[in-house]
Formats: sequence, structure tokens, C-alpha cells
Amino acid sequence: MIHRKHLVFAGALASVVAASVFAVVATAAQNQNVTITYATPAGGGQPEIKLYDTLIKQFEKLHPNITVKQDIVPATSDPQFWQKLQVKAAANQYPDLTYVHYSWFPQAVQYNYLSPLDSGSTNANVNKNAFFNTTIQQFTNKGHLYALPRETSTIALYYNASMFVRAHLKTPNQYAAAGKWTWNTYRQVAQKLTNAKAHQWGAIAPVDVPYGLFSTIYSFGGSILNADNTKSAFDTAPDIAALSFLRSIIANKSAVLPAQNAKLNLFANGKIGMYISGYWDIALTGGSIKTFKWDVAPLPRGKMNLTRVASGGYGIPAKAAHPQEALEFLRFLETRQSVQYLAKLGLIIPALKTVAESPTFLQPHGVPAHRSVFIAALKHGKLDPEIPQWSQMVDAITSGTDPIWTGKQTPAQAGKSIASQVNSILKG
Amino acid sequence: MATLSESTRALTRREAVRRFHARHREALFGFLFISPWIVGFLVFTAGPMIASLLLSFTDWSILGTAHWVGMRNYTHLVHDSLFWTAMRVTFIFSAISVPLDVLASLLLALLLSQRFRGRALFRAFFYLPELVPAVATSILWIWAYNTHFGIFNYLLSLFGLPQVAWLENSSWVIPSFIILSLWTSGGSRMIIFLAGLQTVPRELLEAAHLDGAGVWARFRYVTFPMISPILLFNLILTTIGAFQVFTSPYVMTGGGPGNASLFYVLYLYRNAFQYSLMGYASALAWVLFLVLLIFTILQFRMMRKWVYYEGEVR
Repeated sequence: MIHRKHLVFAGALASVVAASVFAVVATAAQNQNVTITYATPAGGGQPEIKLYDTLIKQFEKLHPNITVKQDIVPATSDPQFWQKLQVKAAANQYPDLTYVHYSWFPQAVQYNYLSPLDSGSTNANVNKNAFFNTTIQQFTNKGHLYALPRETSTIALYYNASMFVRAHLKTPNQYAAAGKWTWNTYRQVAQKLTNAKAHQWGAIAPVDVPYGLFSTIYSFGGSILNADNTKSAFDTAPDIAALSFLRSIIANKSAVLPAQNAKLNLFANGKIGMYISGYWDIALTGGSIKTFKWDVAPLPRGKMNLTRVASGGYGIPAKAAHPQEALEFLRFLETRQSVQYLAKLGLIIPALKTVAESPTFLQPHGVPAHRSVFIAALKHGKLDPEIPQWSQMVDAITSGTDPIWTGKQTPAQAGKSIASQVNSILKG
Repeated sequence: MATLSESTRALTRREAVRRFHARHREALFGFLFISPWIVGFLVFTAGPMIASLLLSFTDWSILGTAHWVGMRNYTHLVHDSLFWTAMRVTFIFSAISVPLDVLASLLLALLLSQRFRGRALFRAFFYLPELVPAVATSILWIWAYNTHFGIFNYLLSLFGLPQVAWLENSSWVIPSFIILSLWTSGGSRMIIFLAGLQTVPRELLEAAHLDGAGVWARFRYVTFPMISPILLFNLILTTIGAFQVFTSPYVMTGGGPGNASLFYVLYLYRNAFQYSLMGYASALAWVLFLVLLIFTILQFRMMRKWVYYEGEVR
């Protein structure tokens, strides 16, 4: 028997069904408008965020149905950015486009986090020769490109030109021009510049991992791992020679340890003669220097004229919700105009060769005068080894080299101990 | 028609059933009222604990799939030299900082329980360091501990004492953290002691004073037994807190120099988020839990020897 309450129930059910059908149809029609997210650590701070906002506005004018949202993932280091991406992935959240750093690229590839950008549905159809080939190499895995390079960086030497003038010394650039800029010269110069009473030191010891230490080791003809990334090279002669050299400049007190500098910005405060860093410090540190003249020079020449090269780029996660729209945005970001605009920030060397080698970028009349040193160093650039256990290896090397700087272990002892630790990390 | 006894029995049976339902209704309402807490506990505490226990038997790496590996994480732990380093660092730190911190808080509380002008102001000022966020505190103390420009070395130089490489010397780095932990002596721990000191009956103290007991004797025989339960409480909480120190080593030394400040939770964090070894990190977390559980049980066992509860109900 049909009661009134049965009719009421049937009516309610019918209206719910009708409403949901309508909602589905309505959203299907609305789906023409897509919002994609671009995840970035925004290492360049507010200027970088504003820069991308401008680029995004230009892109949205060309593609009215795509809205781009910058997802700023605050991180004090690139490995930290990757940690946050992983945690988001555990919650099934994937950006549509993300910044990719070489240090965690091997792990991302191991877990199939990124889509290949040179084949399949996310083929960016880009000319690989337009980029510096170390950058393409760094983002290639098993023959496929998984990230499009955005920037590259080399390591060079920053120096306080005013301090050199006061000490009546030739500048590193002058030594380099005469072919005499070697590590021994660097050590002598550092000692001459040191004045302990005035809290002034010749150098910050380049022992920070990986920027300073790896660059020094490469220059001494050493490497971090062997050719096929299966064994550590820290117990080999060139590596131990580099470690011994670094110990000597700390022991004679002409170089101060980087950890103390990191919080006090000693170079910008005029207390340091020379320090070794990447291109980004032109804007980050150089921007705050007002009381003295400064410049950049090539790294001292060791057994070879080598420096360290690293890159950052853009990638599309394999589980991104809107990979095609992300690809459109990626293509826009890699046009010459966009790259030039980004390079204005001063934090990066663009990976696109035409922009990096253009006169507007090289700015021969700007500060520092020898900015081109960074570009020239690309020809002598060596890549760090790419392994998924990068973080563990870096920690083992950092804690393994500390006893050398405090004098508790000799370079040979520490080298052996680091090698055995890293070897067991590589074995897994 | 039922007999009188039958209808009485029916009545008492109905009454019994009604009372049974009433009691159950009461229990039901009780559960309903505490259900928000129960749900929160299950979802945010008990659930994740069980999940992490299960994870500790797998090789999960956040992005990969989890495979059951049995006791492999635990056996790896025993052979991991960094695990033992982290244990040792944390143990040494706790063994020294816990008694020091509790003693400092107790002394401050004793001082601030005296009557004097401006006492409330002093209490507020001593509490302030605990309100400063841990990261800000750590950055402040990096400056203070700086070898060349820090205030501590400056003070040492004023007295002609040698400079100390506080955070760069592996022998001085743990003492540096111990000193840092004294920064919050005037915080909640001290407030709890203050509250306990207020409950010491004045008549007992006066009686002791009349019997000729000096300051130390009054403290030893009257104050100390009366606040001993609070002392136990603070000891247990401070121990648990000391074992879980993370923010300051993470910000200040990153575990250095040479793993001399590799605190246990810092090592756990590294394994979980930097090396993506979530299974191993979960095993580390459960080992820490077991260690703290043993410590707490030991402290409760020893409490019979020295903790005095009024009414002697333990």
C-alpha cells in the first residue's frame, strides 16, 4: 500500500537525482576553463614571484582558457623543496608544472614522478641543441629528457677588490691573465690578507658541500664517485690532495669556516678577502655590498681547469591533472623573450645559449666587471654524480670531513672513512 | 487474573528492566559527550601510531609502494653506527640537562615564591624566553655562540679566558645545547613548581621553624617531601622532552661537527624526509618510544623510595 510518506521519499530522491545530473552537466560545460598550478620554491624571493606573475599574465592573455596559479612551496634548500613535493604526493596532490633541481632529479626519476618531455603525450618538441649540453645531460635519464633546463650555474671566486688594493696585491683576475692563478697563489694571497686582530680573513674555506668542496676536488683532478657511480673516490690521491690543501688554509688561520659566515654574511661586511660561490650570489650577496668594490674571477687552477656545473629546470609530474595545459605554459616559459625576462632577475644563467651569450646578459659595463667568467667556466664544467642517495652521501661527506677541519683526523684517514661510509650507502 | 505475587514479580521485573536501560542510557550519554575526544584520539594519535608500527615493518618511501620486510629495519638499526651515535648524543645531553633544568626551575621557583616587591614582574620576565619560538631562539643563540663575534666569547675575553669554538668544536657542542636548554628554566616547569610550593602547609613550616629547623632543614624535611610528586612529574616530562630535542640542532648545527650533535629525532627526521626511508624512520620512532617507556617505568618504580603522597595513596 502506498503511503504519503512513500510519495514524499520518492519526490526527494527524484529531486536529488535531478540536481546532481544538472550539476554534472553544468561543470562539464564549465571545464573549458582550466587552472594549473606551478610549484616553485621561489629561491629568488619576492622579485622572482613578481617576475613570474608578469609572465603568467602575458601567458593568460595568449591562452584565455588557462589560468596559472603559482604554488610557492617555501623551502630553505632544494632538497627541502623535494621533501615537500613528496609529502604532497602522499596526499595525492601533484602540481601541473614544477621546478626541478638536479640534486633530487635522480630520486624523482626512480619513483616515476616526472613525465618524459621528449616523447609521448608530453613531448615539448624542443631543440635540445639550443641549451648548454651539460644542462640537457643533467636532466636526461636512460636516453629520455625528463625536465627542460631553466638555468645553469657555475662556481667562481668572489673577491673584495678594495682589500686587495689596500694590501698592494695583484687581483685574482690579474694573476689569471698572467696564467699564475693557482691554488698555491691563492694560499699565499689569503695569508697576506689575513689580519686576525682586525677580524679580517683572507678567505672562507671552500669546504661547504657541495658547492665549495666539490669544486675544489674537481679542480685538483679528483671526483666524488668513480665513473659508474658504484664506489666513492674520496680515498684516491687527488681527493686527499684537495682535502690536505683545504686543511692547510684552515690550520694557518687564513681561512674561516663557512658555517660561521652563513649567518653573518662576513664577505658583504668586508671581513673576507675571497670566497667561492655560484652565480646567484651576484644578486643575493652583491646586492647588499655598498662599502667596497668587488669582482669575480675564475677558480684557481689546480691540476685541471675545472669547475662545478649544476642546473635547474621545469618538469611535468606524471600524475599531473592537466599535463597538456602545463605543456603550453612550459613552451611559453622557454621562449627567448620569457627566458630573457627571467634572466633580468640576475640570479641565474639561462640554460638557453642564445640568451646566456647575448651582450645584454653579459653586461660588460656592469658590476661585477668580470661577470663573463661564469659563462666561460661552462666550458670547463663538471657535473656532480647523479644518484638517488644524494642526500645521504652529502650528509656522510659533511660529517666525515668535519674532523679534518678541526684537526681530529688527517685527510687520508678521513678520506678512507668517508669512502667506506659512502660505499655502504651506495650498496643500499 | 494474575495473583498478587505474580503481578508484583512482573512489576519488579519491569522496574529492573527500566533501571537497566536507564543505567545504559547514562553510559551512552557519557560516551556521546566524550566522543569528540575519542574520535580525535583515534584519528590523530592511536591511528597514526598503529600505522607507523605497521610501516616500521615495511620499506615504504613515500612515493614508492610499501613492501613487507619483517624485522629488517630493526636488525639494520642495531648495525647502524649512526643510530648508536644518535643514542649516545641524546643520552649524554639528557643525563646532564634534565637534572640541571629541573634544579634550575626549582631554584627559581623557590626564589620567586618569596615575598618581595615586583615579584609578579620578575615571574613574567623569567617566563618570556619560553614564549619565543624555538627557531628564533636558535638563530639568536647562533649569534651568541659565534666563535669570532659572539657575545659569550666576548665576555670570556674580558676575563682573559681563552675563546671557545662553541658550535665548531665537537667537545663543546653538547655543552652548548645544555646551556641553551637552561634558557627556558623560568617557563612552565617553574610555574608548576610555584603552584606546588603554594600548597606546602604554612603551619608545618612554622612548626618546624619553632622547633629550631634552619632554612635547609625546613626545605629538606618539609618542603621537599610536599612537592615531591610535582618533582616526579617534572622529571618525567623533562626527560621525555630532552630525548625529543630537534629544532635547535636542526637550525644551529645540522648535526655537526662530525655528527657530534646528531640528536636522535634529528636523525629520525633525516631518514624520514631527506632519505625517504619512512619504514626505517618508523622503526627508529618505535625504538625511541620503547626507550622512553623503560625510563618512565624506572622513574615510577623509584618513586616509592622518595616521593611522599599525602594520605599515602599511591
